[in-house]
Amino acid sequence: MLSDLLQFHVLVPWLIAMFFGVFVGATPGLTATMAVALIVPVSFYMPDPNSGLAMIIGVSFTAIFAGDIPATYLRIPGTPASAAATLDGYQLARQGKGGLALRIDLICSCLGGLIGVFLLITIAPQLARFGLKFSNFEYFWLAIFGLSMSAVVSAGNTRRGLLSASLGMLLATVGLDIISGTQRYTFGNAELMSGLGFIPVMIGIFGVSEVIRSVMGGLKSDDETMRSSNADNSLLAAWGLVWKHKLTVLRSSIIGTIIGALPGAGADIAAWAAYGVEQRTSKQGKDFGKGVIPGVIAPTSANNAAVGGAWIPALVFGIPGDAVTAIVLGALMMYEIKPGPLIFQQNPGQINAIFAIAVVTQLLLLPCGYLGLRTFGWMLKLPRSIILIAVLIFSVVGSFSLRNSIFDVYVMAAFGLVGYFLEAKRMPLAPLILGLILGPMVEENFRTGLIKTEGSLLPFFTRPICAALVLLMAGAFSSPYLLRMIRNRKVDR
Amino acid sequence: MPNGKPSLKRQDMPNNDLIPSKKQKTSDPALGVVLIAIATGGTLLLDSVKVMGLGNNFDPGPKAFPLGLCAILACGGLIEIWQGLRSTKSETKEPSALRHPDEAPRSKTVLILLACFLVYVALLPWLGFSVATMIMGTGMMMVLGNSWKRAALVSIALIALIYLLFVLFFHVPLPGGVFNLKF
Repeated sequence: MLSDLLQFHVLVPWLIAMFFGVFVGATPGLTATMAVALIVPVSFYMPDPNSGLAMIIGVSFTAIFAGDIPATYLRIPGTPASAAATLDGYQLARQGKGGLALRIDLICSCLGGLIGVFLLITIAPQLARFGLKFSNFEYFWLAIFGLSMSAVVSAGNTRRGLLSASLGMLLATVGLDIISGTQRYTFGNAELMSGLGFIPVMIGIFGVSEVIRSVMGGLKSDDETMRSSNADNSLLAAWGLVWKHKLTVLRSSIIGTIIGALPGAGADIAAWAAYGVEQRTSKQGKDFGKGVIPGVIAPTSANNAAVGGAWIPALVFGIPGDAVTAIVLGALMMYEIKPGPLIFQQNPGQINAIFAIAVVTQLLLLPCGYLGLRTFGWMLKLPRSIILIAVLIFSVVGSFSLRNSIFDVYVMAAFGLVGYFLEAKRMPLAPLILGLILGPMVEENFRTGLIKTEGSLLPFFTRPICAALVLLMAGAFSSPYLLRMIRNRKVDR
Repeated sequence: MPNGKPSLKRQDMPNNDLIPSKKQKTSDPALGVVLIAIATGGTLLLDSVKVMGLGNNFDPGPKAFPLGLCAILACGGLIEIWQGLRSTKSETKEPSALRHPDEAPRSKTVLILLACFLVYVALLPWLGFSVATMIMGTGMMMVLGNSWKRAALVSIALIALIYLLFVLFFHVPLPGGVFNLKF
């Protein structure tokens, strides 16, 4: 397996994709989601499916790490997952220890990623065995659970999260109906019969709309902390400090993996949660935010571990953990890999290949990330106005190249505007993407379930796993209100 | 930083919407109108779906799911409008002095950039990839403040890179347009 991956034709595009991930992740305003969305069309042209998969998986991990680079030097997170890394990383950079902070960050990203992937390899097959007991009823609720969680954790506004998910599901109804084969919202257009192209929609929403937002946010960047000294920045010195805080790495990585595995919760939430836990438990808790090493280790271990965690529900149930995994899931389907519990029995070779790619990616992250740190100064010198236009042009070519269809380019452009409008109105986009992916799963399982039960809704609530999922959802929706009530009572006393 | 706790400011977390600021607006009538328009359009367009009734054999049919989603969107839209109108009555208008001074020029830049991008997409099948990218890529970079020389050079470099990657390496035929160019 490993020898297959270490072939020249696999390794070269893999490394190039990882450098691309470093470049996009380190460019403020461009996210890991966008990096993955842009690499997917390119990956389809790889002669070996493994090299395509390696490119996609490689980008998803490296972009998350690279987001920490501008977070440390410029206090601008390269990706949302790096927001927590701005706190102590930036303070260390101001003290002239930016290089050291980023080397610690790189080692922690590799270790966090490895722990996340190890947990994925350990947990996923066990969970898949359990998943074999699932029928239409359970899958219906599981998809609804995934959508609900993405809404609960988004934007502090659950209602808009739910609306965004509903909009995504409505968009997923375009094309031929899964059960009856009837055309819906196709307007007689043959290209719409297979539904809205998933990749053009992704590129539009995450590529074009982010370019617009970047232009709105201003194109100039602050490089005051680029002066930071490079003294004592060796990887060995950084490793010594990481080893000293090995429990922090382990704890944060486990937190990251668990949060990453929750549908809808991504690497950004994982990083904040690990930072919060470390602040409360660390002896240096009072100094968090002033430039302490555990304040760098916790979020950077957690955010990369979360990427591995997000793969657990994606591979086992076909429910993506976050927007990045949602795109990867869409890409897997285009590779004719159908995630679900059966894949562990029917196609173990493919699963092992994915696991091996994820492990090797963590090891390759060290040299790629190190090179990324060395070239960051060069990256900063590229005018953002040029990078943004290059992203627009690549968005056009990427959407066109999938099916050689100009219609897909129109879809991409339209969804660029839709994405920007929705973001401007503070509608979270991740639930929309999950809705687009999970919509067919929700509809198919609901309708098939009803046909099986001759129209009775009762089994949707009485089967044990269904009831547990419904209760979990009710708990998730009501917990903020319950917590608020408890807090108010304490204040009253 | 009172009590030694880090002050988590919203500007520290771009794109991170987990910790909303207290003054964050949670309703928007314009969004409500758009949602209702989508729901209405979605419902009206379902008429064109050719099926007998709503469903049969206990299957609710192909119309039921989108119809339910349209109803959810319409309800959400109504709540947005209702809450938006209620909050605007109690709120005073945001003083213009508090707005970012660059906001208006940036909006203008974004609008011009968007217009250029849409023209680029529209021209692509007619002019072909390389000609459309040369003209509109240069134009868009100039909109963002680059000199025409630099913009033109970068456009040529981008066309060359995409030609190498997609046409030569992946064998993807890019739109040739009326000039029928192979790149």
